[in-house]
Amino acid sequence: MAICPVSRVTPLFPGPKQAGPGAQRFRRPDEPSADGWIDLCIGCQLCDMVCAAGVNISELNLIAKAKYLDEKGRPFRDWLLTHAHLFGSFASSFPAIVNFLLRNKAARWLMDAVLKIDRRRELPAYESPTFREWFRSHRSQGEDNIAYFYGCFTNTNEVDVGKATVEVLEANGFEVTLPPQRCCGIPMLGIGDFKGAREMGLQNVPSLLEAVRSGLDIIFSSTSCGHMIRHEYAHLLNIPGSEEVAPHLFDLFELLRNLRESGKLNTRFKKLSMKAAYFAPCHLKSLGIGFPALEILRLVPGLQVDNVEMDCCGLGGMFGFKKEKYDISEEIGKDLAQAIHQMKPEVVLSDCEGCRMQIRHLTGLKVLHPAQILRDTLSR
Amino acid sequence: MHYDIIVIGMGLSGLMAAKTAVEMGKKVLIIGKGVGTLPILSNTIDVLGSLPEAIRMKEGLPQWIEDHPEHPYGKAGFEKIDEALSSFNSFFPPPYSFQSRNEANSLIPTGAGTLRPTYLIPSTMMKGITLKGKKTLVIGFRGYKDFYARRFADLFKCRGITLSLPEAPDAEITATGLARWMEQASFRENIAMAIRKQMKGEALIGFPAVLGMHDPMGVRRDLEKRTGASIFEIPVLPPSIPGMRVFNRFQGRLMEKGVTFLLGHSVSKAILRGNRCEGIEVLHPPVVNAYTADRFVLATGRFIGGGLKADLERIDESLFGLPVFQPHSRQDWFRETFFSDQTHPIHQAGILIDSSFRPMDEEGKFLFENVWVAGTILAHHHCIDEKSREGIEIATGYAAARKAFEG
Repeated sequence: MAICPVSRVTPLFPGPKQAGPGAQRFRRPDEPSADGWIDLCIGCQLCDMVCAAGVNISELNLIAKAKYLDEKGRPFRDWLLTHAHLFGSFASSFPAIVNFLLRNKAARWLMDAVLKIDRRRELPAYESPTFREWFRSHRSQGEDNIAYFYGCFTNTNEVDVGKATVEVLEANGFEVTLPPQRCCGIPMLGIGDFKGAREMGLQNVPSLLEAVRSGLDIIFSSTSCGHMIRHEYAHLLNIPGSEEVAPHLFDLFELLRNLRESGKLNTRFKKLSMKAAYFAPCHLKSLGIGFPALEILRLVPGLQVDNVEMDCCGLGGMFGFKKEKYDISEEIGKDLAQAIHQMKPEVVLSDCEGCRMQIRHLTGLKVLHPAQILRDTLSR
Repeated sequence: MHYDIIVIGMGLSGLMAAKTAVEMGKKVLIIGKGVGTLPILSNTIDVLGSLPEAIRMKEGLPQWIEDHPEHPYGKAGFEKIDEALSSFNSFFPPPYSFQSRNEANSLIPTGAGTLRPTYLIPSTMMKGITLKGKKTLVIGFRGYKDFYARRFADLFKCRGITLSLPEAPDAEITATGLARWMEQASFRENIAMAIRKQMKGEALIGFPAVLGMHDPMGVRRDLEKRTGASIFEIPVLPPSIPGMRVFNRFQGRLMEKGVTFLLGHSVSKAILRGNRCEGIEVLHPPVVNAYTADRFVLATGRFIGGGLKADLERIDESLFGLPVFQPHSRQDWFRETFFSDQTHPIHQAGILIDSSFRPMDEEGKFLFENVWVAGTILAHHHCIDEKSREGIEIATGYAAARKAFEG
């Protein structure tokens, strides 16, 4: 309870211990859910991080949430929000029309009223060409081969993150390949849709496994996708082959840190006089690899990177888009926004697209993936 | 990844060991499965609460150490304890600092209605120790179950009022929620107004220790301005906001200094070869991450922290399999009654160390040449009765890291 960002801002959620684990005591599994508030769990997993007894609280909450939503039913809105990957390539083909609609006040009002997607939340714009299209015309060259799981958001909404990742890898001597891939499934897992999430995992693992078996390591630049594939695929979703993939899956900066350890990191950095704030996403914390981006960026001469000592941005994936949860999401985020404003950075960095969206939304500052800054400093 | 030193355990002793090592220029990894007991047990810094208030710490403690050579304080020595406390204090420059009154223990009023002896007190709590005889108003909040102003007021002969908050009229309020509201000027304005209406000439106001997580002295100053009275914080039941302030400060400063934090992950295995530890493995299914180091500090705490485990027969240290000094049979663990005047023997159980803080067995045999042990997991202390928990953690965390590099 001491760490929970949701119970910190609203008395409606009594805290992680009272929800999943507490509500499940001495009950038959088939009895109806007793905890209607369980849906307010944002899924940050911070309770797991601090529990001195090592209880996997967030997992118990997720299972309780799934049961509750299975009983109650999920609105069409939730299906829509968690299946954005289905419309991504279409949206990127007609970015002008789609982006116009996403920003159009009347359309947003309608979405708010009919679908309960909060109109105060900016919807991310679609880009063209997509990352995958860009990569097709890009010739990657390097001595070692490496695979890249870029994720849907990079593909259609933040293409430059993908480009930056590829360029950073190439600057370190890697030739990048893209194994066939689909949405990792984390949006579905967030609403307790285990079946939908597992489906995505079952589609992803064979091609990732093929890459691993051909001797490749796989890099991710989104800590959410990375955490999903590395840990949830095997543990929660029981996807065959995922255990073989997981040890070969690395966060981009985790890889760079390993390269540094073995003296192979390209450290020919250009001087970059800049003051940046770094915010570590929840899923990076659950990965248990420390804050490698912070360690690497601190090697860049002139670049001052300060860690924002706050927990959880409040977006929680699709959580912050939902009308009934928007206020909670914003309230959690305000604490972070205030901490960032006090640091007066020129740019804010975070490894998660959700955190970046929320920080942009609440601070109006320039927010980038750490790879984008690193790419700019690497002399080529 | 390879480090100069890996600290296992993220309580106060582990944090102090990490601080000490990084300030010696070392590459440090600290790993903990949780945030330790700081947010549960710690409000002030106890060093040796059993020492009467009339005796100054720097006179009483060296004498006490002479009488208790086996105690962790005996292993550290007064000089190291003193250095360690200064090092701790260096992370808390004013305004929010830790001080003693007259360099001795003071009796601080607690939310449980007791007067508790303690040594270093956060600035926000100082005015509580001179509460006796002053016209005092104590504030509680409806829905906040960890502090009852009226009960406190009955016991300390002052006046208690309970405020209802329009933010949460019928809901349970948490300490963290309150601490967050306290940082908002509009919230302070509202409660100050409600308090002013009910004041009857009191010059001192007591609040539960929830005056904000980040800038408690700023919150206090603002409330003093708005109410015209002096304000102090009262340590209350867990969770402890003051304990979290300590943890947050350490985490922030240590990360700034380049310490790698792995919070929320427990060591699944120590890789041992002969009398050396080569590394640790962290199982995060389905992946195992291995970290190696030249030196290791074990600071995993006692039963709550998870450093010691008791089954029906005996007590074990599970990570390194170190021998645990303990009563010969389970029958001897406890006294006849729970609230006995004498300490339960189980509290003395723990890891034996030599004068350089390396683990030994009962025959005094050396076990590992590159492992040092710190914190409450050590044998031969009664931190509950002595009121020495934080002092032991700070002193031994500091001393173990110093010994690890200086021999």
